[in-house]
Amino acid sequence: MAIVRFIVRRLLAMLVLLFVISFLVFSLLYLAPGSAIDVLLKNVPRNPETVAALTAKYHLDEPFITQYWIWLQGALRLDFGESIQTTLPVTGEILARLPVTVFLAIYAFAIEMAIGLGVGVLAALRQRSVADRGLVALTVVGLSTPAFVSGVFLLYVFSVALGWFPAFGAGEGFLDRLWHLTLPAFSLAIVGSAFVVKHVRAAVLAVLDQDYVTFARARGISRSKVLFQYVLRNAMIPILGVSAMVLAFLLIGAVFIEVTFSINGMGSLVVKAANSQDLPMIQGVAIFIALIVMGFNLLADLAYLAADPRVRNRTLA
Amino acid sequence: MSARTEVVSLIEAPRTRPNVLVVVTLTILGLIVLLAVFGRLVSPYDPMQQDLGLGLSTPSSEHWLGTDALGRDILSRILAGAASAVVGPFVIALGAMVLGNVLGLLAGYRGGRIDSIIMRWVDLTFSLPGTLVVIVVAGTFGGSYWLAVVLLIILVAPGDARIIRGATLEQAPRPYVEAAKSIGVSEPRILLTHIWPNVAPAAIANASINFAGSLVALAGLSFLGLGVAAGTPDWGLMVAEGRSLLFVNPVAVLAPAAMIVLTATMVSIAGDWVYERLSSRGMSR
Amino acid sequence: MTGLTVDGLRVVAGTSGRMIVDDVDLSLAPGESIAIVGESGSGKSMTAKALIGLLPRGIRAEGDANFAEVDLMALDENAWQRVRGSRIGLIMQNPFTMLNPVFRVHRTIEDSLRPEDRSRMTRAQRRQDVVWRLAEVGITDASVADRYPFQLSGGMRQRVAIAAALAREPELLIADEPSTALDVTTQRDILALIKKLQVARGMSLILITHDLRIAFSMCDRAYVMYAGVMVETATSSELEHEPLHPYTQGLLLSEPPADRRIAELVAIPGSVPPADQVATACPFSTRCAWAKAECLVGRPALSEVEPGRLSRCIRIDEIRGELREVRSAAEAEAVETSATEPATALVVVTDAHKEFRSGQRTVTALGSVSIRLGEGEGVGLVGESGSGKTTLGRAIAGLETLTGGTIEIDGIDASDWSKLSARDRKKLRGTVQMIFQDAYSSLNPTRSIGSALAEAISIRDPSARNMSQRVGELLHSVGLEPEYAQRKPAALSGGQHQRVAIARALAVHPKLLICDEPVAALDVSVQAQVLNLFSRIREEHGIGYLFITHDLSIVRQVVERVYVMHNGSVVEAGPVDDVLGTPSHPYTQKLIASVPSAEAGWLGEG
Repeated sequence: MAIVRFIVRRLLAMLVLLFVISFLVFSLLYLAPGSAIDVLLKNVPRNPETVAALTAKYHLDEPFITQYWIWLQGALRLDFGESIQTTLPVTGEILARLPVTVFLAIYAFAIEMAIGLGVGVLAALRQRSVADRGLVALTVVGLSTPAFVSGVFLLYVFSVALGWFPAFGAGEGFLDRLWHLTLPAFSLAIVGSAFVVKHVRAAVLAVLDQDYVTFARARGISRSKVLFQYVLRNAMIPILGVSAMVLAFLLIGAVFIEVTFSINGMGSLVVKAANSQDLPMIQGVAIFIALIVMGFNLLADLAYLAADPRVRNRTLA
Repeated sequence: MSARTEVVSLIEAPRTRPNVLVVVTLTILGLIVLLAVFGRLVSPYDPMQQDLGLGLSTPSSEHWLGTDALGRDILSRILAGAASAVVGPFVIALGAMVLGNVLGLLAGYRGGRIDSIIMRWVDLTFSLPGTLVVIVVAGTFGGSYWLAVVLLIILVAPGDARIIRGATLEQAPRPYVEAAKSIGVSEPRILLTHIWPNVAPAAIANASINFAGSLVALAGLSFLGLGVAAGTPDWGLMVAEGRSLLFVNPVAVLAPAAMIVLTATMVSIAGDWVYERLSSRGMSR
Repeated sequence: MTGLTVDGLRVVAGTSGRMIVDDVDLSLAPGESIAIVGESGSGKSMTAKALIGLLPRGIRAEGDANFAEVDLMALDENAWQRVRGSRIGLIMQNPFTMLNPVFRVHRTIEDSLRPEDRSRMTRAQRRQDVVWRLAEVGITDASVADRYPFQLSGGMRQRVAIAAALAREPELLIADEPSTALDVTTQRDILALIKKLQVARGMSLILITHDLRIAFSMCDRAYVMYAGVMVETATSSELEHEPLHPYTQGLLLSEPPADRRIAELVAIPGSVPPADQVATACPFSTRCAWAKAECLVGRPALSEVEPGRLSRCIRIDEIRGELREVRSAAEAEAVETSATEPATALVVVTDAHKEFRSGQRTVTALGSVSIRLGEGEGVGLVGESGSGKTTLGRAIAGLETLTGGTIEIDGIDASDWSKLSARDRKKLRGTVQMIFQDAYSSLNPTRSIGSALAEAISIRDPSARNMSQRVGELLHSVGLEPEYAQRKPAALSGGQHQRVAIARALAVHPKLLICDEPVAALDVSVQAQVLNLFSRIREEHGIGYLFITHDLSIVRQVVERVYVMHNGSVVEAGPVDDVLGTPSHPYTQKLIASVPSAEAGWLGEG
C-alpha cells in the first residue's frame, strides 16, 4: 500500500530528525558555561564525594560519544534522569503536568478553529464590506497581541475588574478545570484565531474566484452546496497546510499563559527549569516537545493527503 | 500567484490620495523610533531611579502613570523601554532579510546541491517552535537579550529564505529572465537587477512581519525572565513585574502591554503599505 | 413569446459607473444559434455573464432581457438558481479550471442533475445515467467516471464539463470561447460536439468567440462587438459575403488564409480602446481609415442597411464600394514562395533528443530530430502542444540542454551551452535571439522600456554613447515612438510589448530569431501588425526566422520552408507550399483540416 510506504518513510525521516535533535539537546550539557559537574552540581555543595557520585551517575569519565549513547538509551526509555531542582525524575514531573497543558491546548484549539473558521469565512463572503474591514482590523491587532499580553488584559478585565473568573490555578475535576481554564484558553486563542482567520479568509477568497465555483453556480447547484462542497472543501486544503504552525503557536503561547495565570503545567515547568538552568529537565522537556510537534506534523500531512487527490497522486505515486 | 499568500491587509488597492491610516501609522512609528534613540532625554524622571518611600503609587499629576513597586516612574520606564523594543527587532529583521535573501535567491536560481542543503536547514527550523528553542538555549546559557537576538536571526532567516526561494523559483522560468539570459546578462546581474526587484515586495513584507514577531518574542522572553537583565526598562519585563500588582496599579501592567501591541500592529500595517506600494510599482507608469 | 430578447443591455462597474457594455440588443429564436464575436475588451464575455446572472462582484447589468417569459433582469439569486442549468446552461473557456479538482467525474455530473431526479434514482441508476451522459459527449470509456479532473486531458475535461452543463437539459446553451484553450485538432472536435448536441437537443446556442470563421461555421447569425457595443449584425453567410462595417472587414482580413500566401496582411492600426473612452463617438473611429469628423459626434445608432442587416457605421453607404475594393485587392493576390534547401546552413541540428523527468516518470519531448536552417531563411516549426517544437527552439537558443544529439550554430558546437567558452557563448548570444509567446512577461515589470533596451545595447557595445538616441532608434525600427522609453511594460498594450521584445532582440544584431508563438496571445487585429513587422524586419536586416507555431495560416504567410512535428519527431518537411498544399502525412492532413474555416462542412459530419 502506497499510504503505508508513505507513513513508514515519514516515520524514518522523523527518527533521523529526532536523532539530530537528541544529539543537540544532549550537547547542551557541554555547551553550557562551566563544566558538566558545575552545571549538574548547582545547589549541592561541592566536595569529592558529591563530584564522584555525579561522575559515576552521569558517566562523566567516559568519552563524549559513549556518554551520549548511554543518555540516548535512557531517553529511549523516557528516562532523562532527575531534576536538579526537585531531585525528582524528569519524566514523572513532565507526565504529571502534561494533562493540564493538553487540556489547555485542546480548549484553545477548539476556540481558535471556531472563531477562525467562522470569522474567516464570514469576512471572505462579505469582502470589502464594513464588517469585513472591521474584522480585518481586529485580525491585524490580534496577530500583534502575544499571549502574555492578551493574558494580562483578560485577567484584568474578567478577573480583577469583573471578578467572573479565577485569576490563577487549574482547578480540580472537569467542570472546575473548564471554569479555571476558560480565561487562559481564550487568552491563548486570540493570536491563533487571528492567524487562522487570516488564512481562512485568504483561502476562501482565492477559491471564490475560481472558475469551478462560477461553473457550479452556472449549473444551478444550490447555494449551500456550492459554499460547503465547492468553496470550503477546497479552501480547507491550504488551511490544513498551516495547521502545524497553529500548533507551534499554541505550544509557545501555552508557556506564557501558564506563567501569566500561575498554572502548573509543562510551560511553567520549562520556564522554571530555564530560569534555574535545570539541564536534565530542559533536555527532557525539549525531547517531549519535539515528539509532540513531529507527531502533529505527520497528522497534518496525512490530513493534507486525504483532502487533496492531486497531492495524493503526486506524493504516493 | 504572488509570493505572499496573506491577503489580510488594512491597506487595500494602491491609492493616490494619502491614506489616513498610513499617515497615522507612520507618525506613531516615527515617534517610537525617536523614543528608542532619544527616549531618556525626554523622560520626566530617570527610569532607573528608585524611590522606595514613594512605593507603589497610582497615577498622579507628578507621576502620570504612577510608579512601580520600587517607586520608579512608569511613564519614564515606558519611554526608555522603546529602545529594547525597537533595536533588537530591527537587527533581527535586517539580519534575517540579508541572510535569507542571499540564500533564497541562490537556492531558487541555482537549485541542486546548494538548494537541498539550504532547504534541510529550513525544514529543521520549521519543525521546531522557535521561541521554545530560545527558551531551551537561554535556559542552558543563562538568558540574555543579545543571545536571543542572535538565536532569532538564525531561526527566522530560514523563513525569509523559503519565501525568497519560492518567489525566485516563480520568477526564474519567466521569459524576462530567459530573455536577459539570452542577450547575455551575467548571473549576478540577473539575480540582483532582474529577479530581486521583483521579489523585493515579498522580502520587505516579510521583514516587517519578522520585526513585529521578534518584538513580541523578545518582550516575551523578558517577561519570562530570560531576556533583558533585571531592572532594565523593558515593556515585557514591566508586564512581568507588574502582574502581581494588577489589583493595585493596573496601569503599570496595561500600559507597557498596550505599547507592545501598538508597536507591533503599526509595524505590520506599515509593512503592508510598503508591500502594496512596491508591488504596484510595475503596474503604473 | 419564446426565445431570448435583449434590449438595451448595459453592463457597468458598480461604484464608478464605468461603462463596460452598452446598448446591446439580441434576439434568439428557440433552436437558433447566434455568435457574439469580438476581440478582448469587446464586452462579449460580460454580455454572456449578464445573461446568466454571473457577473463578477461589483459589476451590474441594466436594461431588458427576457427569456421565455422570464424577465432575467428582475431575478434574485434564488430565482436565478432555478433558471441556471435548467433553462440556460453555460460552458466556460478553460477546461483546466472549470471542474472541482477534488471531485471525481461522476460526482460532478451527479451534482449537476436536477435535485428531484437525483434523489429519485438509486445509486446504480445514477451510475447508469452518468455513463449514458458521458457517452453522449463522446466518452465511451465508463472508467472515466471514476477519475479526477487532473487525470484527464483538456479535451476530455471539456467534454465532461459539457455533460455537466447539459445535465438539467437547458433550452439555451451559452458557450464562452469553449475551444480556445484547447489544441487545434481537439478544438474542432469540441466545436463539432457542441453543434451536434445543439441540433440533436433542439437547443438555442449563443457562441462567444473571437474567431469569425468559427462563428460562421457554427451559427446562423453573428453579432460583432467592439469596445462594449454591437457594431454589426447579419446572418453568417451575408456577413461573410460582404461585411458592412469597417471593423468587421478589418477583422476578416486580419485573419490570414491558410491555403495561399498573400503579399501583405491588412492590419488594423492601434489597439482596442477601453469601452468608456469611446462612449461618445463611433467606437471604431480611433482606428478606422474612413473616420471623418462626423464619426466623432456622438455614438452612431445601429441602423438597418439592408433588410435584416444592421450596422453602426454612419458612412457605410458612402464607403461600401471602397470596402469591397479593399477586400478584393487583399484577397486576390497570391504570391509564390521560393524555397530551396539552404546552401550554407547557419544552424544544423542532428538527432536531437530530450527527456524530461517529472517525478519518477520520464517524458520524451524530442525523439530524434534533425533540422537545418539557412542564413536569412524563414523556417516554420509546426505542431500542437507536446509536439516538442518549443523544446527544440529553446535548445537552439541555449535555454535547454539536449539529452542527446548535436546542435551546431555558425560553426560552433552548441549542444551544451554550459560547456562553451565565454567567448563562444557571447558570440552565440549575439547570433541567436528568442521571442516569447507571452510578450508582457518577457519584459521585466519593474524596469522601464528604455532601461531594458539600454541593457541590451550595452551588452553588445559596452562603451555605447548617446544611449537615449540609440534606444530611440531601436524603438523607431519597430514602429514605436521614442517616448515609450520612459514607460513601464504595464503601460503598454500586447502588441507593443511584442514590438519592444523584438527591438531588444535586434539590439544585439542577431542572425536568427527564434519566435515561439509570437502572436498567439495577441488579438487578431494586432496579430497582423506584428506579422507585418516581422516581414519588414526580415527584408531590412536579412535576419533568419525559426517560427514556432500551431497556426498553419500564420506559417503560410511568413516562412518558405516548414517542419511539421508530432510527438517529438518531424513527420513531414519541405517547402511550405508543398507541405500545406499537398500534405502527405496523415497528421499534417489532420492539422490542415483543423484550421477553422467559414465554409459549411468544416465541422464535418459531426
